[in-house]
Amino acid sequence: MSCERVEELLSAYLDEMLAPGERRSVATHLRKCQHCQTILDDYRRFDALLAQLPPVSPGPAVRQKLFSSLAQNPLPVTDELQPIPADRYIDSYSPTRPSLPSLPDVFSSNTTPTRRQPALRRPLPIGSNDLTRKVPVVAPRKSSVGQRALLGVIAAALLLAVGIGSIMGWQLMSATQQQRATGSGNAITPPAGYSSTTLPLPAGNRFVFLHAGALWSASTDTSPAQARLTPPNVTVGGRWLVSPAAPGQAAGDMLAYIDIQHGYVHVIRSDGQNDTVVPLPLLGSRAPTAALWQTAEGQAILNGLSWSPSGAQLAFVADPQSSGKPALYIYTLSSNSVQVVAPSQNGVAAMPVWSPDGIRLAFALTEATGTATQIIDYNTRDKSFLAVATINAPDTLFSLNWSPDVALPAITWSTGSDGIVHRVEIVVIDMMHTPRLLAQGNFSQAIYASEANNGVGGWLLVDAQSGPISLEDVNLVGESSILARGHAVTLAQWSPDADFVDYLVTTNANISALHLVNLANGENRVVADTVASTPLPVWSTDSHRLAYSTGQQIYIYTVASASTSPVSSITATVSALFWLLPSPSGTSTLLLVTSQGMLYAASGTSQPASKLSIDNVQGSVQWTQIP
Amino acid sequence: MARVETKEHTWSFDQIYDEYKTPIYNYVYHLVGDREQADDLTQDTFLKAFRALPKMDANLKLSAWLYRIATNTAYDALRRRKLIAWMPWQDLDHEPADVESADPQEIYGTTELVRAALRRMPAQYRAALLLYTQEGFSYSEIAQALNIAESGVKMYLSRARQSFREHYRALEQGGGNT
Repeated sequence: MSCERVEELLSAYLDEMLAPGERRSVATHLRKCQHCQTILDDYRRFDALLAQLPPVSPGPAVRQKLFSSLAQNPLPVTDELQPIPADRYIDSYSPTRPSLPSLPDVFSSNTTPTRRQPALRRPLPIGSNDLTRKVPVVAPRKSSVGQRALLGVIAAALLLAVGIGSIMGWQLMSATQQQRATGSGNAITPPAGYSSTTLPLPAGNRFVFLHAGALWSASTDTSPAQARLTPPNVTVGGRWLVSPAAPGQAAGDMLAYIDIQHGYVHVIRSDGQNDTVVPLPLLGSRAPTAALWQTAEGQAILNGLSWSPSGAQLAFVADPQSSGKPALYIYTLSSNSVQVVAPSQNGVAAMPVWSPDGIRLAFALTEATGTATQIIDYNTRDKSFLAVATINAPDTLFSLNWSPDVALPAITWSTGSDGIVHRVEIVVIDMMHTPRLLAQGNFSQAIYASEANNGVGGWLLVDAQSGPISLEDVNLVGESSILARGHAVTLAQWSPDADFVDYLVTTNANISALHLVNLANGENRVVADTVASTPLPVWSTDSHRLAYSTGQQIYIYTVASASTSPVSSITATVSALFWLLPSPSGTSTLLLVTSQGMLYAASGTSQPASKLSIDNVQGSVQWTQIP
Repeated sequence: MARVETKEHTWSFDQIYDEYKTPIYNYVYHLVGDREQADDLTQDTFLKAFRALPKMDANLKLSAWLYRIATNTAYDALRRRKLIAWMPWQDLDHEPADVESADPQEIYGTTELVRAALRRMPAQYRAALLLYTQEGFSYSEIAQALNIAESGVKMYLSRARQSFREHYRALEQGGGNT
C-alpha cells in the first residue's frame, strides 16, 4: 500500500472505521513508514487538542434576546399544532447528493406520527427524496403560430392575474399600453387634453386602468364616474401597481407607476393627490427614449416595481449610473428616501418580490455575460444576502414567489426557455442548501398561488404536450394532485381563493369546454362545452361566481348551486370581463368591456346591461380604495 | 411557556435552552470564529428550533436535530459572508481576528492556535471535525447534522484532519499566510 493511499485511510484508521483487511494493511505500512506514523501521531495530538478546547458559553443577553423575541412573536398553542414526519425536515433534493437512507432512524425511531395528522396547515418541506417527483420529459411539440400566440396571450394574461390580488379582470391585448404610448418613434409624447379638476376623488372603492399614457380611476356608483389620476406632464408605462390592501380593506390606497417620458418612479394616492417622484433617475443621464425602454434593460426597469406587504416601501429597478446594468433599490415612502440593495457591479437585478412578512426581498441577479442568473434572498434587517440558487442558460427565470409560511421563509420559482416552463423548484431559506425540485417537464403554464392547498402554496402546471397528465396541482411540500389527464388544456387558472381551478379544453378553434375542479374533493365537472377563449373566463373576487362567454352570450356560473344564468346581451363585441367588488349585501356585478373599451354593467337577465359613462377601459384593471 | 414532548423527555423551551446553550454556542462559535456572530446564530438556531419543534414528531432526537439547525444556520451565515465579500461595497462585519501576524506563537497560546487553524479550514470539514472531537458525535450523527451520506463522513474527517494539520503546522511555524 502506498503512502498516498495510507494517508487517505489514516483518519478512518484512527477512528477504527476501516474494514479488517484495510486495517491490517495500514498497520503493516505504519510499522515501516515513519512519515505516515508521524501524520497519525499528529492526528491523535490534534484530536486531543480539539477535545480540550475550553468551551465558550453565551452571555445572558442571548437568552434575554431569544426569549423576548419569542414573547413578541408567540408560538401557536401546541395543542393546535400538528406533527409531521421528522423526515420532512431533512434537507433537500439534490441531483448530486447521496440519499440519506438512515435519516428516519436518527430523527425518529418510529416514522408513524404519534399525534394526529395535519388538518389544515402543513409545514413546508425541508425535503426528502421520496417526495421528489418527476414528470417525464418529452420534447416540446411544434406548435402552430396560432397556438404559440395563444400561449403567449395566456402567459401575459396570467402574469397580470397572479400575485396581484386586486386585479379584477383583464383584456388580452396584442399591443401593450406602453407600446401604445410610446408609438413607433423614439420620442415619448405626454398625454394631453385631460383635465384633473375632479381631484381629489371621494372615498370609496374605485377601479383603475391605463389609457393613453395616463392612469384613470373609475366608479360605477360614485361621482365622478371617470377621472384621470396622474398629472398631465407624465406618461405612464410599464407595470403600474396598486399597493397591497391593508388588513380588513378591500384594496390598497396607493399606486406606483413609471413615468416613461422622464424616467422616474412615481407614487400617488388613490384619490389622485400627492403625486410624488421617487428621487432617483431610472436611466441616469440617458434620455428615456422608447427604444431604450424596449431593451432588456428597459424592460427589467419597467417590470421591476414591487410593493412591500405593508405598502410602506417600494422596491424598484433602476440604472442611475447609466451603466447598462440596472440595480435594485428600495424607496421608503415615509422618509422619501432611496437605499441601494444590490449595486450594478454585481450584475443585472430584476424581479424583486417581497416576502409575506416584508422582511426579505427575493430578486434575480444576472451576470454581465447573461449566462447565469442567481436568485438572491436579501434580508432587510441585517442587510445580508444569500444566493439560494443559480439558473444557467438557456433556461431563464420565469417567476419568483414566496411561500406564505413566514416561520420558515421559502422561495419557489419556475424556469424554462422559449415560453415553456421546465422546472419548478423551492428552497427553504436557512434550512436547505440546494433547491428542491417540485416538478420537471414541459409546461405551457406554471402558475403559483400562495393561497393554494389550504395556505401551503401550490403550483398549477399545464403540460405543453397534452401528455398523459395534462393538468396538475403541486403543493410546496412536493405532493401532486392530477387534475386532468390526456386533455388539450389550453388555459388553467386558480380561483382567487385557490379553492378551485378552472381550465379550458380546446375542441376546435376558439371553442373550448370549460371545466371546474373543486380542490377540496377533487370533483371535476364540465361547466359548459362551448366556451370562447376571448374574453377569458373570470372569477368574482369572492370566488363564488365564474363568468364566461360562448362568443355570442355571456354566462355566470354560480359555484355553490352549480347553476348557470345568461347575462343580457349587448350588440358590441365583448373583449373582456371583470367583476365589481361585492356590495355590502353580497351581490356581485359583472362588467363587460367591449372591444372599443366601452363598459356595460350586467346584473342579470331581467334587465338589459346598462352602458356606463366610462370608456377606454383597456389592459389590466386594478381596484383601489380611497379612505 | 410551551412544552414539547420528545421520546427522551417532556421539555420546556427554558430547559432545552439551558441544556443545549453551551454546546450549541460553542459549536457555532468555532464554526464562525466570532463571538458576536455566534450570539446571533445561537439565538437564530433556538428560535428556528422552537418554532419548528411543536410540529415535529414526538420521536425526534433533539440533540442531532439542534446541531443540524445550528450547522445550517452557521453555514448560511458563512455563505452570506462570502456573498457580501463578493459585493465589494460592503464592509465585512465581525470578521475573525487577524491571525496573520508575524510571530503567532508569541501572540497565541495553543488554544488560539487551534482556533486559528480551525478558522482557516473549509467550513464543512471544520464542522465535521468539531462534531467528532468536541461533541463526540458518531459518524452516523455527523452524517445527519451535515446532511451528507454516512460514507461521506469518512472522507470529510480525513480531509478535515489533513487540512487542520496543514494549517496548524503552518501557524506553529509562523507561516500564517498559508
